[in-house]
Amino acid sequence: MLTVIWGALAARRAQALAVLLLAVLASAAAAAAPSYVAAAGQALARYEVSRATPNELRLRLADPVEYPGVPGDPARTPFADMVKKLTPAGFEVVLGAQSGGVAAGRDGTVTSSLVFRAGVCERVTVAGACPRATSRGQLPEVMVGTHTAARLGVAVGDQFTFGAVPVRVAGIYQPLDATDPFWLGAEYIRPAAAGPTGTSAVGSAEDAIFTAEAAPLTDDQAILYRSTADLYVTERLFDTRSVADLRAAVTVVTRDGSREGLGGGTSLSSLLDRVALQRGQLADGVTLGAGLLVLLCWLVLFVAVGSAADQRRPEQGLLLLRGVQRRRLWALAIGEHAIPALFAIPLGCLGGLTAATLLAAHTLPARADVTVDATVIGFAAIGALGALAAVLLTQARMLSAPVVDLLRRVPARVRGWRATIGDVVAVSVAVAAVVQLRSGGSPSGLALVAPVAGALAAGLLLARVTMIAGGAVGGALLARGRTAGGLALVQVARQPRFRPLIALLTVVVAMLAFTVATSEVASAAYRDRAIVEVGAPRVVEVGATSRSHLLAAVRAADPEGRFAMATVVTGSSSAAGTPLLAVDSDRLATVARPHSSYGMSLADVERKIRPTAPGAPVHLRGRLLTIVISASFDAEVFGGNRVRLAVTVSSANGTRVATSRQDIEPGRKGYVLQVPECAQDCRLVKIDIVAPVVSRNLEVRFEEMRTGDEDGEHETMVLTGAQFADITRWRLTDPDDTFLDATSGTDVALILTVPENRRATPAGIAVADAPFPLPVYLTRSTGTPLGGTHPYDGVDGTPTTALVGGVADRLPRLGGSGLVVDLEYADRLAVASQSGKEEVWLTGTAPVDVLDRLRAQGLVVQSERTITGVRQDFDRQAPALALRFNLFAALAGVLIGAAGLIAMAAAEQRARVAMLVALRRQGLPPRAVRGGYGLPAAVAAVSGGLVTVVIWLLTRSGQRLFSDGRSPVPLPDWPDVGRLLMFTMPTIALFALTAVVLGRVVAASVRRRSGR
Amino acid sequence: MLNMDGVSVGYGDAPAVLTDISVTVRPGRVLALTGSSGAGKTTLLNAMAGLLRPRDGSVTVDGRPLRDRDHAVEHRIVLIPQDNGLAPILTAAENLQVALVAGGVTPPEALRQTAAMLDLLGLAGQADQLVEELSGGQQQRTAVARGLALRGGVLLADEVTS
Ligand SMILES: Nc1ncnc2c1ncn2[C@@H]1O[C@H](COP(=O)(O)OP(=O)(O)OP(=O)(O)O)[C@@H](O)[C@H]1O
Ligand SMILES: [Mg+2]
Repeated sequence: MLTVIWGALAARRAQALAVLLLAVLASAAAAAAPSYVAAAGQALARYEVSRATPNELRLRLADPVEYPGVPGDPARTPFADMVKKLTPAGFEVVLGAQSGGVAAGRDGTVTSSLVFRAGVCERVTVAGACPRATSRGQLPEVMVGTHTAARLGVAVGDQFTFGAVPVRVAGIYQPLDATDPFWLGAEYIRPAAAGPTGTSAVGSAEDAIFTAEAAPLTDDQAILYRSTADLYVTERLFDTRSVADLRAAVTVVTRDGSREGLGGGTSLSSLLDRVALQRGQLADGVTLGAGLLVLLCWLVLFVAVGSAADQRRPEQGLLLLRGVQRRRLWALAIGEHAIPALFAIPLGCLGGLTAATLLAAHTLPARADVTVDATVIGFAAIGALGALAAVLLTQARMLSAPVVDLLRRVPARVRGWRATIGDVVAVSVAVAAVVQLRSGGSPSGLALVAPVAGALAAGLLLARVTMIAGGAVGGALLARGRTAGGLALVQVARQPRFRPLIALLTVVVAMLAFTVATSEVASAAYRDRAIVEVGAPRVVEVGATSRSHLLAAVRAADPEGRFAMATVVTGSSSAAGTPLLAVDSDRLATVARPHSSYGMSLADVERKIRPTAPGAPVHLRGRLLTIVISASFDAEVFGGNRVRLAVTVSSANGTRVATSRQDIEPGRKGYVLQVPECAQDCRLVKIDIVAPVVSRNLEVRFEEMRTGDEDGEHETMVLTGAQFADITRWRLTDPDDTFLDATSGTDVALILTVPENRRATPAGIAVADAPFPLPVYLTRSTGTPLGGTHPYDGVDGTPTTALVGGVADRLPRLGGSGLVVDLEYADRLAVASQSGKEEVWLTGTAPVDVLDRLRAQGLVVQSERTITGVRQDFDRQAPALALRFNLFAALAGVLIGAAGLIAMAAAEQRARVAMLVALRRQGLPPRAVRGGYGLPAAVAAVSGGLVTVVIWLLTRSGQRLFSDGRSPVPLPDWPDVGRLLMFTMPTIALFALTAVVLGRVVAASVRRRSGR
Repeated sequence: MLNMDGVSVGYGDAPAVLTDISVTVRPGRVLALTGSSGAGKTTLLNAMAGLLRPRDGSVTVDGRPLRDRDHAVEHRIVLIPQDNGLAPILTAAENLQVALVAGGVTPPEALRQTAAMLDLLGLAGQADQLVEELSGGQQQRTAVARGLALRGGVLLADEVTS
């Protein structure tokens, strides 16, 4: 048998080679997917690791017992042994020990910790030296950060005390890279605090003070320390071990650690979750491209081998006629094709690997190694075996056909259920896939390949229509004497093998268009979402001492309002309340990036949320605030229930309530409040009368307000009685239950009346220096109509209401739900310091030194996001990487389609030439000799376009574009047609060119054979 | 009038199949050619139809040398090849139609003549069947129908009765 098979292979070398090539292609396509997933999975893990917080990269184990002495190297302690025992392979261990306390130097003190941490000396630059081990009786050596040294007032060689222990400064360090996970984020290098003296050097006075390995003390009991071990996960671990493995290892360490009594903690699992999620999405995403490639390879084999087999029908018929058993024919057919298929597996692995390597090198955000593993080989085998199955399927009909049928050249037209069974299966699969996809949830299984399944089913049906219509039209053309066109049409339409070819080309065109469309929409969606979520071209998160500090600092850094805007964002993560965006509205239209999805213009917002204020703010200058009050209430009835005076002031350091030490008593009296923050300048927010129980009517007359200093100097009148009595200056904090009035004449004053039996909240008057309720722009999704009032938590977190001055579809930074207010007004209405994220929004044209300018104003720059950066981040997530693979697959599909066209033409060229030659001898003019291959290409272009629209409408909603689900910005419904044509037009042109060349080959051959 | 004078023909570099053949075909006359299998009947007809260029001698039609098959078609030398020369993917009627239109008949007229000729040869029922779906005899009759329909000055029929 083997020799027979070998003979068959040798006899049909060209076909064996074609089967081999296509099977290699199929198995390479199948193998490329898992290789790419593995490589991209590594890259994703590296990327996630590079973005992880330090706490997500390590697992901490801490000794339960505190030991006396200066923190030293725990390397030779039982704790270290235990850690060594517990540490899973591949984790990097950093041992340490630490002790909290107060360091006291010549110039000041600082609450800090004394820390030993193995390897610290390699990660700092030191002025002086790294601390060395000392012996008993010597002063322990330490190194301190530059800020700490400045605070303590020490230099190299100086002494200071930590707790009760005197230590010597061996060196002053600066971390080489404060973002190194070694420093564990803020654990050892504390972020600088915002303040008037901004600095660009990392760290703060609270930075850790590092000790040497050993420093025995004469009195060990003076200080206690605890040993720690940080187990770091490395990038390499993600390459070599699965996420599930790592998760199990973490669980085991945590469990065994706590069994041994070690304290611990880690956020490693959240990193592992993210990596696992991304890898899962990647694998799901590339299923589409891999499915497409494999399907196309099988189809093209079906087409190529099928039409080649057709040409051998008479030969098979003769064999049967001679009495060869069908069993042997089957064996021969299987053997003849199984050998190339088997060869295809290793070659396919290699090819897939090469393709994946190339693709990985061009698309992945981080370097990744492509390797062969069992999955790759398995997929390659599936690809090759599928190819073999496709080949055998093409022969099945032939091998089981009656001998008489075989002896005819054109295969009998298949009728009945057999003719439609393929279509029925394809349509059923497509329907199931689309229904599954549209049923919601995250797509899995069949739903992942819904577009391909849909394209195949639609392609097959359209091919069927083409065949019927082509035959009819061709016949009509022939009858009308349009011989050239008619012949070209019927040559294709009456050759059943062209049907799968047309379906193949349709799927190729449709899937290319679909993939390009998805990529296009994805990149538009990435851009849109980045714009909306970031808000401005650059957004710098900063630390400020207060909202007013932030406002003033940004205004000082950009006095003309050309490139920077102060912003506070609150509650954007909470689900319950309405997230708030407070902006320095004069600059909104200049700095924020407009976007069509907002449904409003930023200039309108600017106007609406900043009407003129009803009154001016009341500024205070002086450490003491005196308020002259005439109170009238029945002190006896009030009994022990005190009545107190509280004033809320807002300074650059925040908003604070100052309470008068003296209770309010009946009669006229000046009450003094300590407001040290007002020494420079502050703003009066409100004055409260705090009376938890109001037994009888309470009336308070405000007659005067003065500021001054302790020594009684600089006494200034802030508000006179007459100014107090201007009711428009004030706003009742509780307008329902308290009353405001003014007297006139000589004892002009403001009168606040609190009726008896009022509930416990303070009765107060706030300075009406901002509109109330505050006009806001609100998103439509909240449901409050224009002109309505909307409850929300103010910029300081206290509940309040807003007046809806405008409705937007979406807001910058907040997306679909939230409101935007003027930051200055919001700050004036705020009664507490608490604030959201403080940000400075910058335009792309901000000067290069803008961050330094902000630092110079005392802001601490914490992090920065840009629209471009966020967009790139989206582009590095699993769905984007999967899309790139799919685009590659679709482009490879184009080549497969062209190969299919060529293979088909090659197989049936002889019969076609023979027919045309015969017709030429009957007088058919040479110009009527055409290949007719243009028809499949033309049909593919049209039906490909139709199918694209169909699968786009049916399945676009199921395509994952973002790792975290949906964007707050609506996705474009349709892609940019220009880009779509940029990809599809060359494809169709390639097919057309192939058809022309094939036609020319046929014509030339006919010319040769007919003697001209 | 088709005239062959001292013609010898052959294939490729092989020795000539026929040498020094002279034939004159006159209008209105039937000329029969017999010979054993492989004798060279088809070869001779091919040479007369313009498919084979003679090595020696000349083939003339109406006194002018025959150049090639297209030239022969122009002079209405019709050939019914031994293998019928039908296009398998066309119907019986279409095979006639295509040849008639190629011969300059207007399409409606060609349709009419096709139907008439097929009817004449008892193929009216098979007109719309693909050639592949016809029996051997029906195929042969279709080829004859086409040859007759073309109304050639010379009709070269290669073993149409076998
Ligand atoms: N295309 C060809 N190339 C080379 N030799 C050929 C070719 N066609 C025919 N011959 C040879 O020319 C000789 C005459 O063949 P031809 O076909 O003319 O015979 P024939 O008389 O028509 O026979 P039959 O009655 O079997 O049809 C044969 O010996 C044959 O081998
Ligand atoms: Mg013969």
